[in-house]
Amino acid sequence: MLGLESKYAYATGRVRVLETRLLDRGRIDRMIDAPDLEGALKVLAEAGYARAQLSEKAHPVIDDITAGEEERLAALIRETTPEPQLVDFITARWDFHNLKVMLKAKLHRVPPEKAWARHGTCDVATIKRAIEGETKDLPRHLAEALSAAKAAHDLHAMPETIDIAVDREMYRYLLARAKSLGIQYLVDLVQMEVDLFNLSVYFRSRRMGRDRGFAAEAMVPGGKVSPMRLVASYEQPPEAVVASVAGTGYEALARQAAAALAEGRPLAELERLSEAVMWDRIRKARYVPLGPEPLVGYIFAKLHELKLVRLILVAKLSGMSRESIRERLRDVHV
Amino acid sequence: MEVRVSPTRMQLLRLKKRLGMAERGHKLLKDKRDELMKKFLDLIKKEQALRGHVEAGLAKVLPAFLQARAAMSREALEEAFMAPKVSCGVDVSTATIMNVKVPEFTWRGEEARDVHPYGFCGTSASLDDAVAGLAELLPKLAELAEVEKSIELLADEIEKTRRRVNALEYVLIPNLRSTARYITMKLDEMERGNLTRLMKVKDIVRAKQA
Repeated sequence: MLGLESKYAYATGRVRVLETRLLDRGRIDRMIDAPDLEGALKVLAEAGYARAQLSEKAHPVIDDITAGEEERLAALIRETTPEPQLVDFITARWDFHNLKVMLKAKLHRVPPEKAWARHGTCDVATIKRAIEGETKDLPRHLAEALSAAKAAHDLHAMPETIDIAVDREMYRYLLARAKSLGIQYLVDLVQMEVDLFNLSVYFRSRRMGRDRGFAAEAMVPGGKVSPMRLVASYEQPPEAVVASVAGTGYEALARQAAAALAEGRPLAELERLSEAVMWDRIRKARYVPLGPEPLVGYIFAKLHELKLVRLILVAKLSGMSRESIRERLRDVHV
Repeated sequence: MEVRVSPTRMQLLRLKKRLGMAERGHKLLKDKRDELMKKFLDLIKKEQALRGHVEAGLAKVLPAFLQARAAMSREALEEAFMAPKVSCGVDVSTATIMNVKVPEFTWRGEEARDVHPYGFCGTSASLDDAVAGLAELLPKLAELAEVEKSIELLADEIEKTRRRVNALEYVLIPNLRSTARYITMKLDEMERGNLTRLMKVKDIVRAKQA
């Protein structure tokens, strides 16, 4: 019987080649320096992205490029890995997204078409039937999320309660899935994602003026920093949160975000710092010679790259200055 | 241009009546124009302050929204705004300024503190800033729309009134005056002609009697 490392030998080989095709600092700089969106798209096409034809509406083109790359990434995982469940880390998010869309459409009587994502694995009819009460065809994790969201909405009939309940179930599912695959590096990444999400909830809720109970409800368990530790400092000055995350590696991030919150500066900085922290963890997979880590690292690196691509393309489309784009990407390594 | 009339006393009386009425109307319209200008300038001042406030707000909100759009997919953004959390609206009624009907927008909205209808996963902090900023700006935007529409309607009315004042001042009143002068001169001329004729007849009669 093959060990975990050997099972991923083929995937590691493929990923080592694909890693060299990830956008490097030089290409990112060329995209930023391109005179317009078309120039940036040319740089992307050189890097192996689908060649896009610009139409009058450029936003859908950008969405199509990133969605197409996600599909290619999912196909790569299916081809190379002995654990096709790894695809869940890309597609499950869209399934949960579609569940939220259909539930909001039903409970708030709004049309779902514009928000519906075609990248999920569970089809619209199944989710629709499940919302009507026939849940037998719905995967278990989605059925659990559906009943949690319905219960939360019954208690407090606000649209965000659906999102909060489904997000909680999604992270619970991803954590359980990572643990069931037995890949510690993946568990660490998902836990880090949960921690960064909780920190984001902490700062954003405070900026919104929401109370402690709301923040505690919106936070997700399962990370390395307990939500209880975070909300303990909720009513204290923002810098108090730094003590709550002491020894976790998020101190610098928490300190800077707390300063931004206290000074009334935009919290977008928090996202930039979170991406930087995440990237530092993702890149460690490059030093693992064999095993699931290179593939998992590549999946997260590619998703990270797609975020950067979207950011640069939308900034180019709207004529944002090069300096502003560089400022937004400061500390976000590639 | 003179008014073409037969030079009779009746016409002169009619013309004088019209002239008096035109002068009264001219004065009233001038007063109306001046008052409209005063109101117009007050509204312009209000509009400048409001527009400054709204544009400064939008200058913060729009880049934040752009950043959010850059960080989020189209589907995530659509999902975030699928179901609104607070309802708002505008009650439209009309008010009258110097007989000009202007709109009055009364903002109906809930407290702008709790306006984010989405969760935290897949959404950006920039979106929070954009939504909160827009929620704060919306009542001001309605007020700005009311003031700008009122300014537009007042400007139309001022233009109409100005044309009427000018038409009275530079066309109708001078014409009526000149026609009245013409009739007066014509009547005087006729009077003098009659007098001369009478004197001549008197001379002829006296000559025959002698």
